[in-house]
Amino acid sequence: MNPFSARRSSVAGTKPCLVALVGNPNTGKSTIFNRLTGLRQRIANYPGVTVDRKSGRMRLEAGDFEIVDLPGTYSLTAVSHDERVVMDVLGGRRNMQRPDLLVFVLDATNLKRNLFLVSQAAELGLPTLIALNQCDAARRNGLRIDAARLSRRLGVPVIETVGSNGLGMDELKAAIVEALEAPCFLPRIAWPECITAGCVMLRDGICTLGCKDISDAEVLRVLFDRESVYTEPVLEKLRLRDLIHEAHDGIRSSGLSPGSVEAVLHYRHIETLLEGVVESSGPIARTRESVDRLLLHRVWGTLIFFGVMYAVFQSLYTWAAPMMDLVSAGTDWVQTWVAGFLTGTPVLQSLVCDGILAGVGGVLVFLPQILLLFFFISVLEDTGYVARAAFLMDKLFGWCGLNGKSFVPLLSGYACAIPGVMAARTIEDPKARLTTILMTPFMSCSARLPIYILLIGTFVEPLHGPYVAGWVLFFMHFVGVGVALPLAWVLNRFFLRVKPLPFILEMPDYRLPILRNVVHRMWERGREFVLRAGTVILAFSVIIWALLYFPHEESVATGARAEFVQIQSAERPEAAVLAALQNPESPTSLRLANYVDAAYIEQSFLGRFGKTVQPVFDPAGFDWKITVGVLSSFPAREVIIATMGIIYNLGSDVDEGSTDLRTVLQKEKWTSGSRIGQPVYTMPVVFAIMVFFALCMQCGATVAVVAKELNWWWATASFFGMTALAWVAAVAIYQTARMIPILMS
Amino acid sequence: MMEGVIVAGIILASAIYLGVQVYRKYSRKSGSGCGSCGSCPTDTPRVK
Repeated sequence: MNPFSARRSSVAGTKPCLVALVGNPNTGKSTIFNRLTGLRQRIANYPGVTVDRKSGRMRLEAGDFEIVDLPGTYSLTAVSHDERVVMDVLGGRRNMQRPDLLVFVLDATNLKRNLFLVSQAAELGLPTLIALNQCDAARRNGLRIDAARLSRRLGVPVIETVGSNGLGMDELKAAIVEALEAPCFLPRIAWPECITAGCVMLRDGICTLGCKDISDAEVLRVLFDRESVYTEPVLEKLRLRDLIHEAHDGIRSSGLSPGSVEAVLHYRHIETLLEGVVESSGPIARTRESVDRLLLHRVWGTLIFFGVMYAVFQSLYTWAAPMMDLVSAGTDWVQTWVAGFLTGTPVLQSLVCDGILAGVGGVLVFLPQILLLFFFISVLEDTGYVARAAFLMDKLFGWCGLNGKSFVPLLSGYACAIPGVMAARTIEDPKARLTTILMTPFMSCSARLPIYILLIGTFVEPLHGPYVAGWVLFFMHFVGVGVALPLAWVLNRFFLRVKPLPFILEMPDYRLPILRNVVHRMWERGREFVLRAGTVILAFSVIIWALLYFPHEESVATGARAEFVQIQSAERPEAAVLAALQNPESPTSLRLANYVDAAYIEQSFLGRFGKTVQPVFDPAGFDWKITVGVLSSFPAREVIIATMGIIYNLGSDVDEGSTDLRTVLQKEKWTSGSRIGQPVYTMPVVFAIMVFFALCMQCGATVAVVAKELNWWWATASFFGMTALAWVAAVAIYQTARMIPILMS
Repeated sequence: MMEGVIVAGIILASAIYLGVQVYRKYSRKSGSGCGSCGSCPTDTPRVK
């Protein structure tokens, strides 16, 4: 579709006025958006957090206003997909409503560079207002800004704000209302004759070719932008290359360079605007430079990075343990309490206790870890350390074709792959973006944490103690990266051939984390986790229980009982066995109950299915129960905890006195085949399961997002590729490790 | 009898709920908040 078509009127009917927040990356647009709308758009102290337009309502006495938070951009040249979103909104293209007011959010600590975008946007001819944000940081850096003088020079209101504490927000709201009533416009720069002539020629050419509603700002973009996802389609369609070359020749003949003239003229204009506006009173603090020298050091910086990561995972492991025990005890208590109420209805009792409570409770136990993980992620993001880590990673990623810009999507993938995949929009090169999107699902998202914690806590910690367990957890979080980087290298070396790109990332100031933001992020994720446990996981638990409980035919119990008596009779007289079974409390009766339960599960729909598919996973050492857990977790990987909770709860030893999943897993033994009587969960199997989960694409939502960001072909290839890789890795680990006998005990 | 009806009802409701969730997830536009990660402000109907 021609991007220069389908322009809509600026104010449509009764729609509220549209106010767009525009500015460079990491200037605090989303923080101001949240302040104005009362919403909770995600914010962090590094560039590239917002990659799509987000809108919300601001309700004032004067009426309702629609506020749009746009991705950050340094200029109107739209090279990456997120920058294109900005141009589409500002130009009113692709069925976007054109804003009635632009609010530029400028970083007061770097006014000159921020004003470049403002100077360019003057050509849009839209009413404008300026929010001079981070004024507190500018003052700390020894900068004094005369906002009133800047306002007079620009001819638009300039409001001093501090988004993080809400300073200046009332003034900003009032200024928005005023600016909509009495619009102010930015002064355009005086273009030299050669550029004006080039623009006129281009405009005539474009109009002749049938595109009549092109704005001055868009003509300038056609003239100046060599690579632009915004103008390129129209250039291709209208075959304007010759006209552009002619206009460039005109600029060259005036002694100017078409490649740099725009920047030179804008910066000259900005110099004039800033004369006497910004004064530096005193030396700028050198602390940041010293800290940066250490954190960005090739050796020390990398060591500190891995040290920080280790500390995070060790804390996740040790700090959350008491809280986990508390939640676990709570769910056990609820299970016992509810079971007492439903004694007269055994099927319903099993559904509620063995299905819903065991499934949902099993997942909820991991809430403390999720909260702690997001506490650490928020703190690292808010302090500005993430941007430093991205800079360091650029060096580590360079060899495999991923650059530092890939780090932000990959890091986001550690929380959840979905925002990570979307954050890849900031990458200009389509091939580098494709590689980054395909690698992001390998990052160890928070949904993998519960299965790691469960298996490490059950099998590694009792043998080797909490410190080794912490190390294993740390290691597991790097398995995905360890596989993704060589895979990216193969993709780039043999298929995509991504050109190495220079990596430019602005280093944000160091800031103390804002407690409100940290707590909010923890709350949001905790709430999401609990909601998921209470909705999707609950529904899954019911279905898994039903598939494990039914058909529940009486003949299965009769057959199992006869078989049990026959087996027992081989050890002692049949009459003695039958006599022991008369007493329901005798050990023989309890063993029979276990035997019958196991037979029911094996004959259930899911049991039969698991046994049919189990041979596929047998080379990885998975029994049918693990196979069922793995298969059920393809829509969402955390479902495995609920599935295992239900499988082992239904089939747990009734004389155990404990239905704790960890205890049951430790005691689980093979009931058939050549390994009969041997423990199922040996160390090789434990690691095979964890590595399978580290590498497998078990997330329906991620598949859908990859399909939407790329296409279904890549989403399908990614799904099957990751699943195959996970299977191969699990088999390789199991088969290699089983050669070491001590690991099989 | 009543027990069977309740259990069947719960199973049916769960299956319908999961079906609706799958449909909604795959029919949503990218960036409009799939609800999987909590990064998008999906908690309020005011957000588009």
